[in-house]
Amino acid sequence: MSAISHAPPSQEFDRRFAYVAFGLLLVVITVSTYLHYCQPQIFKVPNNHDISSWQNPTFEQTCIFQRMNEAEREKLRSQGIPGGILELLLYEGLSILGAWLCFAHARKHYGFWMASCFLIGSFVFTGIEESMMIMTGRIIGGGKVDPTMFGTYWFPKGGLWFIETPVWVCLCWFLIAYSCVWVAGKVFPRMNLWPRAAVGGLIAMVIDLWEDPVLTSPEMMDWVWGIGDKIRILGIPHGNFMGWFFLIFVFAIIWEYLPRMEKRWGRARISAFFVPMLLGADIAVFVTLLVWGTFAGKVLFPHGLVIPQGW
Amino acid sequence: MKGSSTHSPFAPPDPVFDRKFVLTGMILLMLAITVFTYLHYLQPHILRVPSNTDVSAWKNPTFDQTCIYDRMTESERERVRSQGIPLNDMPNIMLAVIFSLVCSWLCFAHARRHYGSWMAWCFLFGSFVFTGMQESMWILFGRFVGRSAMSGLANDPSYGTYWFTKGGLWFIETPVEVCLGWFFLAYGCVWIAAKVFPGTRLLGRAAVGGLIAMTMDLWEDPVATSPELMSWVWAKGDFLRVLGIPHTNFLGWFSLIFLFAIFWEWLPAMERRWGRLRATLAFFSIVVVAEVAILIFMFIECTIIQHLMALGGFTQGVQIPKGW
Repeated sequence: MSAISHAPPSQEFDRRFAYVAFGLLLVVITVSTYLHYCQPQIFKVPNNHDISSWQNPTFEQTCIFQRMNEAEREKLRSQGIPGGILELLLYEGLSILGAWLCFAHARKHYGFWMASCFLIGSFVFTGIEESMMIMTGRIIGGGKVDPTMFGTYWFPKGGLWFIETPVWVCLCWFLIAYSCVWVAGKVFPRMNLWPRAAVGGLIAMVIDLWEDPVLTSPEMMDWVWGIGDKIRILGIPHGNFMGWFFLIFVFAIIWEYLPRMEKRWGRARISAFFVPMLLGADIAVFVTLLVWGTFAGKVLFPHGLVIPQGW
Repeated sequence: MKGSSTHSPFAPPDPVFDRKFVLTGMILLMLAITVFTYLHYLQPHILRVPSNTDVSAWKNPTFDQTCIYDRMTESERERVRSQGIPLNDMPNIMLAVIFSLVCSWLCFAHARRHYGSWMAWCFLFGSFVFTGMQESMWILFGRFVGRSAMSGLANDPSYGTYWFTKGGLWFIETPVEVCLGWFFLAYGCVWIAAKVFPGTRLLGRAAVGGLIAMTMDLWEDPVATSPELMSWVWAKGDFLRVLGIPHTNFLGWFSLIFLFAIFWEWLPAMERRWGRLRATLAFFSIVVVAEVAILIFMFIECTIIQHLMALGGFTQGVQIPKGW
């Protein structure tokens, strides 16, 4: 990251790019948020207060059910998902603050266009990938593919939504991805792009390894996993960690290629192709994870692998 | 640390002194580890080591006076009562020891290459002793006195502090792999802080290093103390817990790494002034004095917060998030 060239400013284009890109993002967020709250039946949004209405998975088919004691289950059934508006405001506030700091840093070091591409690109990249996984589980339901699989996962808490991913999650993904790839560039300044992107992905994956078990605990339930992945590390399906690594690795490479692509095709053309390119990468990562997950579950560990035992 | 050449605390080799220093340091450390490992396994009554297989024998705190007790399902409690601490077998302990040895070796090799042998050994010995003594002071205080500085609000009885359940070799009552883990985390965090903020002065760099380590610990501790791992056990009663972990733990991580990084970077200046032998002695004396100072600071800080909370009408501790 430290080795990439600073894309020279083109103020007129950058202004138009910002209007169009951020404008489109706001439209998608507005529509998704409307659908999430006012038309929840369209995306089959699970109810945060009526746990008994959950489907694909039901409450008993979630990983968290197995970790709860009976008192915690009863509390959840009677009071719903823990946390209130203050917690949500804290999440939104902290993610906006963190994202703003990273965006300011990126703008200073790489210029407005590159910074905006990182912010919007990572936001859309993760939002689409997460939402694809969420909707696959919610609509198809794992049981039709494998009788021991009960959906995928979902985020119960969010203020604004991008498809079915909370905006605070997309922003956190941006700030973690940006800072991890940046730190990787600082720690290994002479490394080539690919290994540097891999180190950035590994740092993010290791951070996530410790964060996820905490954020999915009975006291927080920031997201909920359906039972299904045969390989679980600290209670989290291994596909999650692979997803973190691949998404950051692929995104960092695409983003760092932007200045070269700009030189070849011009800023306007590459800006227009950036999001479709990310969409293609999203689908590629999604298919890779599905194929790997099936192979690992059916061939490598047909009886499952839980690390540590009992979690 | 090596962020810019003006800040680099590199010390040129002095083979005769360095050899003697390493030999003396290693012998003293090995001696301490041998004695305390013997005491831990063969004379456990001396340091009142809690049994890993018979949890009903626990005192200060008893099993139901630990934080983990509240987080367990009844079947998990039964399992611990009948089978003892989970994953307390030789392969798992060996895995932890090997992992900490490999990481420490990598960090040590890096330190020796960048800062010279003397500086690298000072970081290793210093951080090992610094953390081992600090942890053990807290553990033994809780175990023998039966209370903690962190508890004592009206409705929160005090039951002790914490302890490590699993370990291969022991330094006082801290597993050697924990001391080594502290070494490579401290070294890695302070080094990354210097890389990320190369223009920052020592105090700023040490603070950033401490903050990185503290943030990592914030996520690691709830996992490592979960019912499935129980790598260490906290007593109930603390008046401020974050993700189930007493706030003093995080304060301790920050202050230990912050202070240690400063003392360590002072070494070349001390050497120029007093010579390598005196600088070494001064460094380890400062480390020991800082241990006691941190302990006293924690007691004062806890007393102040306790009084403020009592004045604010709190009769029970605060948990972030609620219920953890």
